[in-house]
Amino acid sequence: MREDEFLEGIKSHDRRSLAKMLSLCEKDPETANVLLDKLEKKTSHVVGITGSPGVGKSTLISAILDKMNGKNVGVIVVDPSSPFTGGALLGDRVRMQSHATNEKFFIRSFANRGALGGLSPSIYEACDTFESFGMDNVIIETVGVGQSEIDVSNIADTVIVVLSPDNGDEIQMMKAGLMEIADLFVINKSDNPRSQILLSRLRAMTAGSKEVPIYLTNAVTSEGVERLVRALDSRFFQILSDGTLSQKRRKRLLNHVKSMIRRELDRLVQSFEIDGISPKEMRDHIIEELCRKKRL
Amino acid sequence: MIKVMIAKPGLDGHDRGAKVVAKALRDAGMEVIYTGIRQTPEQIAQSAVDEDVDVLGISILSGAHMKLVPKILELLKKMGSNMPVFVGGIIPKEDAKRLKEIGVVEVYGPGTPTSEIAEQVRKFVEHSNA
Amino acid sequence: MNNGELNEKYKEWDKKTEEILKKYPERGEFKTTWGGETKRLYTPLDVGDYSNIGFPGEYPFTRGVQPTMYRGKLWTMRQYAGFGNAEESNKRYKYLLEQGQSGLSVAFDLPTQIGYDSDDPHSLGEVGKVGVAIDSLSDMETLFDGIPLDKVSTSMTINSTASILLAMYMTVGEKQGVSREKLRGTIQNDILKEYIARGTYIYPPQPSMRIITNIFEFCSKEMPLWNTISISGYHIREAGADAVQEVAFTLADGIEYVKAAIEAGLDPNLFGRRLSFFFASHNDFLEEIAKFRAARRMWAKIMKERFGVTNHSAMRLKFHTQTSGSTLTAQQPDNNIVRVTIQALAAVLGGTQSLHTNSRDEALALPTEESVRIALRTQQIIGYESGVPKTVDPLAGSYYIESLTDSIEKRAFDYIDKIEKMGGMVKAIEAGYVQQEISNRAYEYQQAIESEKQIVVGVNKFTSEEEPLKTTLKVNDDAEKEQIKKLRILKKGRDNEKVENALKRLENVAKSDENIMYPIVDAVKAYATIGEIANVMRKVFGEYKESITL
Repeated sequence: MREDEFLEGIKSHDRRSLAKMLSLCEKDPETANVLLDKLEKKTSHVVGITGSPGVGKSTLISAILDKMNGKNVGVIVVDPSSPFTGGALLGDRVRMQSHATNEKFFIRSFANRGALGGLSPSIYEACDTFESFGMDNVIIETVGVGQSEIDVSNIADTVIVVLSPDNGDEIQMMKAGLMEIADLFVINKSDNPRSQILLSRLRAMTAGSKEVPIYLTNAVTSEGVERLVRALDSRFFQILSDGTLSQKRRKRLLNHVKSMIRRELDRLVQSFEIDGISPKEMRDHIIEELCRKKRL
Repeated sequence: MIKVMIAKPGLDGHDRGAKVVAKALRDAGMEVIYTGIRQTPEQIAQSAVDEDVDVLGISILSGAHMKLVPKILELLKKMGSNMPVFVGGIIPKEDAKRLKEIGVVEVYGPGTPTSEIAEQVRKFVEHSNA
Repeated sequence: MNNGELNEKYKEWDKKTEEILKKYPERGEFKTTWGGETKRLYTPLDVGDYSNIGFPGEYPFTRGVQPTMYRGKLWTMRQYAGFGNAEESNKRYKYLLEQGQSGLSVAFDLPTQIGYDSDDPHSLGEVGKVGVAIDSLSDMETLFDGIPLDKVSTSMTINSTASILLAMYMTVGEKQGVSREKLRGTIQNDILKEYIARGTYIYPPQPSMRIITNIFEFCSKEMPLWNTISISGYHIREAGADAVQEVAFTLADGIEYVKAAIEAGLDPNLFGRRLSFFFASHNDFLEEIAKFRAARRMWAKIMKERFGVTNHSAMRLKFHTQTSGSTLTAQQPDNNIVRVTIQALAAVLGGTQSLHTNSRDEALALPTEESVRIALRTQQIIGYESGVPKTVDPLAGSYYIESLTDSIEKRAFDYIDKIEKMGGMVKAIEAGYVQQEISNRAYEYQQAIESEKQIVVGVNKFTSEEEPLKTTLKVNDDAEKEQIKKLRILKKGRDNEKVENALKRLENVAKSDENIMYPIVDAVKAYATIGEIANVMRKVFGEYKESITL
């Protein structure tokens, strides 16, 4: 498929073009950006779902999809790449396979390819693609460890932090930044009686600071999920009208730009001959090289 | 970067081989998407196309391969994909021959070294990109 | 020589041997299947007190569950079989009984195991492939036609739909005039290992455990001679676990079932007698023998110390063994006869109650009549010609065997403790812990083969270009069409109102906490299909979704 065919395909809501375009985002993000500029700007509700491994993020997403009546939803699931082999095992969609043939949903797996942010290096382009395709919601599931819990806040309009009573999550909550980035908390596995203890602890920890709603769910039985979905919709209308969304979009744009520059920088640094040259000299050379390129 | 999908169609729940091959391909530097067990041909074909994988591997040990594999190939074709498809599991020689005749690129029986599979997967992808 | 002197002499010998190594090195490192060290030599110093070994038929049963073992009765030779349709399977059963097999073992196809009728879209391509297709009582009647159920014992490899198949078997018996209390046999009925390794689950863990305890209760009242569960390690082993994991995860499953039954108000001193186990027998001959002994001793300790069981019979681990299918090769299939012989011998020396030996062609297809006969003869030669059954637990006291038995026991208990800390087996499965351990071990094993640290004769060494076996079994491909036709006829000919009422009653009982077996029996008698019955329960209990575990 050629690139101009992608554009036509995206405009006409062709699924295969979407798939190919997402691949282009990974293989050649610069070209992807050029193409994306040519598409009409649409806005989806971008929801980031983060939390430690085992809390039930994938199951929760699957339950959320069950309740997304008639909406078009794109799902991006990110898994870590092996630092040794560069390969990756992407198994998150196992939990969502019942939705694989639903025309309204599109699930796509990404390996993080060692990205600093923990999400994919082409996450911004991928998200833009889903938005241009006309998705009502874009759900991004993070790797669940390390920095990705913070970096999802750079791209999402709403960040959901998922906790679970049998994950020793009190420790997790202490983790720097996790409390601050949550727009919503979800305590999953609500059938576990310890979830009530977790709820009180969480309320105590967030008392005084900004009002962050907490939802209890049982992703396996879908208990509480409908309520969560309605809450997400209400929130979207809220942030759309009170200016929060524009703020977040501006932040996202800046981070997108940073990621583009970082990519270029990485490329230059990797390809540089470092024989007998000091770090300072190397830096100066690279900046000169960057400036010399008028248009990347 | 080579993207592979490993899928298990039908009711067969034996996933040791599928998981071993998935890990081996990861260790060979590929990105491997695993579907889990009990997939319908429709789920597999749609997932493979949506993920835009370079090659699809089907693992099946229940004997249902002559009904399920052709169905998957047919669906892929209908969706406009010509991705190479290989099959692994317990497949009698005559069936393997028939499967190759309808377009399966290779059939791997028990005892096939995963290093051989990884090497051949690279070749399949090269050929289909050429 | 006392222990002190022995230790000194041993150290001397060891030092001298190390010297010799410089000129005559050993072939490599020797490890157990779980990666532990295998010493060059074992001595009385490696054996613990005899009280931990004990006498056969007495706690802790290390040496066997009965005092006379095979001197009284040889193990049951029970070959797993079943394919295509009920008529073909019926023929194969009669053949095996004629050839001297003492018990029947039924293999069902995947749709039957997962509660789908042969005409269900999920059943496409699967009908009659891995076993016999049973859609209703009518098929069951054909399957056992002319086989007197009071004269045979039947083992049915069925799990999620065990309740339904048991109800059918019981009904067939009653139609033959055999009352339910006389029926002997086993249903596998072990749902936990389905989640771990085999995949024929339907409902989530909680309702599945309820069904299982309902079956325990039903049988304790109605079918006292029936073994209500075969807690299985075979599939766990075949999925890639090592010997320690096989024992640990199986017994951990057992603990979970005993807990559930006790919670349901059953007395472990009673239902404990009807529990049985199912293990694999693998390549490492001596390790496998030790494994079986360790399992027996561990279970006795668990029942006595953890559950306070006092009834002697309820502490005994009785088990069936199947030789390992995954060790068989498609290359040079006759080698498999040798493998199976070694594996079968290990099971006998380990004190198994019944045994299935695989056929040589099983890496290629379902076995031919000739292949399955050789597999049966293997058991008969061991039983009647090898002399091994003449005395009880002949390898006891071997320094290596006792040391291995102790090692396996210790390491398996470590796993069990870990699982207890996670909150039990159900929690461990939901967290994907068990599956992950197995999957990792499977991968390590594959890497060992590919790096030739582990040799597989005929595959990565001593290979040959040879013609594959000329005759392999071809399964009748029309099974699917025939079954679908039969279903159509059945549904026309039965009292559909009766069926509807029975299903409605089942739904109500499923929602309550009454015993689900009784309405299932009624539904079965009305010729409701497996799919119809299973779907009622799907509606009430929901369906299980696989955990991500790679």
